[in-house]
Amino acid sequence: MNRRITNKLATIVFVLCAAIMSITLVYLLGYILTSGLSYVDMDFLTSNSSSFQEGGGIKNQLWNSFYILVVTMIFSVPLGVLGGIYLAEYAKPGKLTNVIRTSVEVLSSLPSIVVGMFGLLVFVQYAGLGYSIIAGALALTVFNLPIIVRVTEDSLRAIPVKQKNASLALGITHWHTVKTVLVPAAFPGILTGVLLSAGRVFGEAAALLFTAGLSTRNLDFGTWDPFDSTSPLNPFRSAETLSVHIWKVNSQGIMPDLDAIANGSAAVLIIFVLIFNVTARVIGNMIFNKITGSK
Amino acid sequence: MDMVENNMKTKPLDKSKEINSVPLLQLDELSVYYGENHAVKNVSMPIEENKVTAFIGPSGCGKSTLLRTINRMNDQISIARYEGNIEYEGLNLLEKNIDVVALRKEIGMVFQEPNPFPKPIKENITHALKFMGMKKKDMEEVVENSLKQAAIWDEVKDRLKSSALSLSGGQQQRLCIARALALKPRVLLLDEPTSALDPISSAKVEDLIIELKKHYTIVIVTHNMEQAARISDNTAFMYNGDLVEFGNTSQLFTNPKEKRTEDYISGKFS
Repeated sequence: MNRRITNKLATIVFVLCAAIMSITLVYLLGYILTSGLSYVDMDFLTSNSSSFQEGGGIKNQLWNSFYILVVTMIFSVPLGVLGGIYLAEYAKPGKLTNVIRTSVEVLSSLPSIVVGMFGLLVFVQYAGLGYSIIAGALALTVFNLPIIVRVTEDSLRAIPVKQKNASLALGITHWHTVKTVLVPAAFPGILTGVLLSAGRVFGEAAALLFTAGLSTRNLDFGTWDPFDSTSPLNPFRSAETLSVHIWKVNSQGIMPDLDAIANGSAAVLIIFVLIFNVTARVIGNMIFNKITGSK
Repeated sequence: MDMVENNMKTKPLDKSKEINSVPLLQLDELSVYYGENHAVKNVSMPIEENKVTAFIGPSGCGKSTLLRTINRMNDQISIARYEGNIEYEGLNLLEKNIDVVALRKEIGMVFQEPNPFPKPIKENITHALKFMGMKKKDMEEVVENSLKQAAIWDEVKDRLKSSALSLSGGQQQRLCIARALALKPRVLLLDEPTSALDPISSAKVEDLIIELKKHYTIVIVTHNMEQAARISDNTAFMYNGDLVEFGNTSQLFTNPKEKRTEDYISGKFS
């Protein structure tokens, strides 16, 4: 009797928790999208932002967000994946490994504003990069690297050890086993982790305030020479991203339609983060099925 | 049942062979330690060519450890260490400078739980061949031959591209045997290969083992004494890391020399 009641109670508590989470998410998404989407149109997405007048767009900010994301990923994915492989497969248990693992954990729990300050000191000033895409991407790498290391290590460790034994027992070297058995099996997990972290990077503001800067020049999308100061590809120019733009418009904006701009930007930001999350799941499953040969 | 009878009938013939055969592997004063734990203690025994040698004994007696020492899979465990000799072709397999990659090509292994790669059936076989640098056109033949040898070709020939995970447990285990055979090993180490299988699949794998011993030297660890009696030529009984008794299978089962062997095979402890 008592056990049955406890059992029922536990079920109710879990369902309740799940319900609270989903309702919060749906409410939040609904609120942001309903208040923002009405302002989002082609014109909003493709025109320059304005500082005083009505009708500013987010073209450059959107581009900057993507560009910083790509540069961050170029820095952090190879380093993070290799680091994760090292920790999962090569690191011998001992002091050094513990130090590395603890460092990775500490790095991933640093507040992003602190990472931003660190970036300001090291990349912007000491390395002389100034407020730039590259400084922003480096700061985001500091913040993203531990996540990718962690995801890679966890995905590799989740593979049953019998898979590794199977390959080693066939007279295959450790490295070839890592390359052809372990990494492919871990790939869907790694990719999902990378895409989810991309969502986080895309939405990050605090770490970029002091590194990528608060302003962006009106870009000339006809100039693709990366050394031209108006080129969208120039990695040494300051670049305000979408989330930084939302923060700036909300806190310092003086244009009459600032609510609309902030809400519209928030809606666009949320949609892209959602796309990253959904793609992570879909592509992860697709690749898993392709590798395993099941449909 | 049939098999036991068959074994009995051919026994005199087998014996005459036994005298002439030189062991392919000779274990000599072999000890394996896991840290402080002395898991295998001073084991000496021959493993004869083209025979099935069974390791039996209760759980934790060191029989799997002993098996995994022969192809150095215990190297995976950082605290494992060896003493003694395993002589093979004039080499001591426990020597530090032995190329374990080359060793494992000659001494293949099949595990307790079927462990095909989560890849198409064919790629399970070609995985190691690709690593060895075999040409694509030569692979087709090896794939077919090894699947035939493992008596699974007829069941999979029409779906070589579907996932190995879609096979039943017994089929997966025979695929794993085929995968090991594709490398043309001389010795096959089988670590309780049927303990995760249903009786019908087990019988198929047993038949296969008897067939395979014509061309390969087989060492099998088993929990199942009937299985050891049915398929092996020689049996080693281990207890607590010691090799209690080693000998001809029918002799060991019908007329054991040691009290502990007798108690174990008569089911007094397990």
